[in-house]
Amino acid sequence: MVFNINFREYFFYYLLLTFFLITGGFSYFRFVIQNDYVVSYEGECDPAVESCFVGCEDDGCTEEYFYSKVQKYAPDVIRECGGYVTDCPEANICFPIDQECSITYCDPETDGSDCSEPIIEPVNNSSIDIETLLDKDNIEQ
Amino acid sequence: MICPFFDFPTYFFFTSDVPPLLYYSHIPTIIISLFVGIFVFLSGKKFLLNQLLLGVSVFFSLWVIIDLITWTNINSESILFVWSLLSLCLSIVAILSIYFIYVFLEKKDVSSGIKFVFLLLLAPVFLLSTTSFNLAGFDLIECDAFTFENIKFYTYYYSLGLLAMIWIFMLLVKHYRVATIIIRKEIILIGIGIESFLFLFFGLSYIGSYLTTVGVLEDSRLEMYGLFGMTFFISLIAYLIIKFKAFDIKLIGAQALVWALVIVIGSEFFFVQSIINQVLVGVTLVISSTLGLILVRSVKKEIAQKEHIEKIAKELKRLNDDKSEFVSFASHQIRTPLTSIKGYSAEILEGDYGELTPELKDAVQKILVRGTDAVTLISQYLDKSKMELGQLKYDFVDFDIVELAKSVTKGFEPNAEQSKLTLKFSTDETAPCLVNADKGKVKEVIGNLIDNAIKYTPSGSIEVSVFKKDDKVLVKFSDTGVGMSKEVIADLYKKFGRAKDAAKTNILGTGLGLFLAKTFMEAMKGRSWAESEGDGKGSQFYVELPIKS
Repeated sequence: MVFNINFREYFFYYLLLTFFLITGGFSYFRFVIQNDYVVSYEGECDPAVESCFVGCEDDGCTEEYFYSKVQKYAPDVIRECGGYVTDCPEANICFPIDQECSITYCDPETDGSDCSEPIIEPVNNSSIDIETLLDKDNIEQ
Repeated sequence: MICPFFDFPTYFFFTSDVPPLLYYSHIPTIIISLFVGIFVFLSGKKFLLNQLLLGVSVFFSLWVIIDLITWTNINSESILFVWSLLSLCLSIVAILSIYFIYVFLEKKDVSSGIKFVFLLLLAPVFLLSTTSFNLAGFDLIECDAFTFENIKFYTYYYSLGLLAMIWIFMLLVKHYRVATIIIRKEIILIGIGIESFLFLFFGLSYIGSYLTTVGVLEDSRLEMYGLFGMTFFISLIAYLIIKFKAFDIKLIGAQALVWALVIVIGSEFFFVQSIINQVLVGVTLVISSTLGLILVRSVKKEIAQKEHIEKIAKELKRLNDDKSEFVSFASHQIRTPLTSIKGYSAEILEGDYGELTPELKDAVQKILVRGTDAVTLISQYLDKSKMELGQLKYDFVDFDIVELAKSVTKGFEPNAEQSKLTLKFSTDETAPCLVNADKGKVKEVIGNLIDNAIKYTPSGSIEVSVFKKDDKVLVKFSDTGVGMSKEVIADLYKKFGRAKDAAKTNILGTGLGLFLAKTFMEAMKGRSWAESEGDGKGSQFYVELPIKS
């Protein structure tokens, strides 16, 4: 009887707590056990091939780097790279078996000045390699 | 998965990659909120109000802890797991705040219908918080999930905060209108506290989150300022406890101050880095705790003594009231037969029952005088008792004071004759002199002053005269009696203030007659005072009342 009275008195709390714990359990299952979410990160981008996003290495932006935006389903990334996306070439590629994967390059129409300058291939001097072009591009900027 | 550009936190919470305000806004707030919530709960576990305050403080603290984890941790699984619970904590805080205020104002539990409404409002949050509708992913670069939050979903659960503010405001206004002054003060304080808390907590969190999600702000540090709303709310709760004994807690200001000091100093441990500073904070904490403990004990002792004295004073007042009531009752019962004795004596003396022998006349005259004395004495006790019980009433009417003084003087002629004194009445006034006062009480005062004059005049004469002075009328009682010094005059009108050696002349005096005369006259916008040139030089007593214009 005492239990019944107390249960009725605290019914609202028990209900709140139960729902909270159930929701917490679901959340744990989804995010920690199943890793059911996508991750976004900066992928590699070659400005010679694609229009890349431009990032700064420091606050003064003395040094720039180029990247694409990658979104992948977390279990795929974990399977391919473990817990770290850095130094993992697979993280920059969308494989057919990946459940969800997209790589977004910079679009000058929507992203504007955040994109890297398109590099025009020289017509008469095809022996200039990409490294040289990159260095030249940096010097010009 | 691990955020690549951030360092792992030390002891789960501590890292240098966060704004300095983070720890100052989060840690003391958690400690203060939980401390007060648990303290209030433990002080009255069975009270619903105390349970609800604990509920608000626990879910608020949980939100703050989760928020701290999302700021400091770099593991996407952990962050997303707790991030999804932020919406739940916020929603529950909003609903419990409404529930708390409802119980605070109504002093009873809400109906099942309202509880159902509460659950209905929470249902979408419970159902959707763990789904992709709330959180779809995680940004490893920024190490947060702002870009993956659903604006519609968090607008819903933040709007529960707005709903709580409106609902609470309506409840406050409804109760404020019908509340007493003291309850109104409580309503204002609790209202300001909870509304400020909800506005700062929900408002700044929402703005911070929204602006970060849409990319206007780099991070949601704006929310940190919102947490101080809880500290403000808790401060007002503490004030309510101290001032109004809210939550059925006896807490004194000194205790609250010491606890606040200890919490603030204790919180310093989370910010200071060097060992020397930590030692200094530790020493300060020990010293302030010890001194605080001594201070609290001393104040508690003083308060206990004060409460004991107040209790005794209340008991004494109750006993005094009981005594006054008894005296009033007893006096009334004695006065009735005495009045009959006095009346019959007067009729016998006037010859209504036949001729009297000189011996019999003398005896009946003595019965009349003693009877009059006893009735006067009992009337005075009765008046004093009524005054103490707050039952004394004045019946203001217009009457001619010259006529009244004249008739009262005439009534005392047998007494004066008995004491072998001459009692005269004189006035220059030919027209009626109207005053607006309680005729019965003025008659009692005049009678009492003539009676006094007879008693304190061993030989000679007494004169009662009435004359106008400006817009006032004065009744003067002059006698050739014992007179009195200035020191005696000063104490004469006090309660039980009899002249020195008065008992030798007048054994039956109560010491209340002049006190009552002064009280009565002042209540009727008049006054009464005494003058004398010294011992053996006679006295003059005055009664003054404003003339009715």
